[in-house]
Amino acid sequence: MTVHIAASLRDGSEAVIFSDSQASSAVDEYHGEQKLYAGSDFVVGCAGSVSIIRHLFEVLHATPHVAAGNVANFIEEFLRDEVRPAMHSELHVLLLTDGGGNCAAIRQFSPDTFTRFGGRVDFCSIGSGADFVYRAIGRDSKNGIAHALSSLTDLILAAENLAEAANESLTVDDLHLVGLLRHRRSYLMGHRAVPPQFAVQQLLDPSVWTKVSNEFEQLLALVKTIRSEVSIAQGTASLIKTSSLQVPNAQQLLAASHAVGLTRAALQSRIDAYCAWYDALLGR
Amino acid sequence: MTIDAREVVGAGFPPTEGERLAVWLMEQGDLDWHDLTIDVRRCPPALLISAFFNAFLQKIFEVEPARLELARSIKWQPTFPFQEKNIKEWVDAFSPFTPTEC
Repeated sequence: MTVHIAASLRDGSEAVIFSDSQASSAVDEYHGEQKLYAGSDFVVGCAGSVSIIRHLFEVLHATPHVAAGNVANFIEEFLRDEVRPAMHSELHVLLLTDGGGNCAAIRQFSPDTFTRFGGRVDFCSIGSGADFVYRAIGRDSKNGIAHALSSLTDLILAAENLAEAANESLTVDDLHLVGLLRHRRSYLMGHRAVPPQFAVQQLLDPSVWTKVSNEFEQLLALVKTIRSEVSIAQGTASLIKTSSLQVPNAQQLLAASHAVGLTRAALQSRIDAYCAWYDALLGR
Repeated sequence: MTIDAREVVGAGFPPTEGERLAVWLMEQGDLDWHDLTIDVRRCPPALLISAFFNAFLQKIFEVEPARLELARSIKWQPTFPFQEKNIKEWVDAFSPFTPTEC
């Protein structure tokens, strides 16, 4: 069981996808399963049958010519040629490719209903945890809490926030792989307990994955710091319900806003540094 | 002297935990604040936010205002460099308010 949460800028130039690592059967569950694959310029997240997902990633990994321009067709043909129709309901796919400046980066494929990927959207969640994600969005919206989505930093903050909501599901865990799409290049990062089996060769080196996961841990610490600042500020603002908001509370809100600004700047720097390091690692 | 903050605070509401740490420190009569380091590496990142440090300093100001400047000089030992930078910013910028202003 799974959750994938993908968010994209409207122009499709940058996007993020958070994926958990829990897999379950009728009698047990385990963690550390790779459900995200990053090509050179695309990212694929899958929910459903572990055996189909592993086979898809294996085939993608073994086919170097697959890129953003043909990956959707490749996955559609994979389903048609290698998976029996009766099993098509056992796979859901989210695909991130550059939107070309005109449209968002995310496309969804539900093979139990459709034979092709759907149109581009700027947000989508799939998997058993998706209900929790959409309920959290609905609740936030009713409470007047907006999710800013105008930069990659915003997208990461929103997706992590919703991944936290999905983690309330018994079928979802908080050991994530994260895919980034940035100006026609993809990037993978994640928890140390989810080393990818299928990825660019450099990431398969355990020492490299240790570095990646250390960077991810620091990035998550920044994200959690911001989430906590915002949460406390929202609690302070809720004093308005009892008409008890005072000047010192307003000062607390300003302090929190300043703290968020400081931490956002640090987060932006870490993302830039990670992407630069990743590009150098891949020699691009 | 170095104190492991996790031995004193929990993972609850950050302002409450900040106050808890301040009260505990003020109760340690023989503790020299001139050479004090508080190790917060085992504290979750979500705890180490501005509200935690503001509540910590505010509580000291309310109970022992004379020790506020000494409290600002306490060294903090977090896990990540950004936390060190943030903490310095918050401690330097802290401005106490008197409860009568409420």
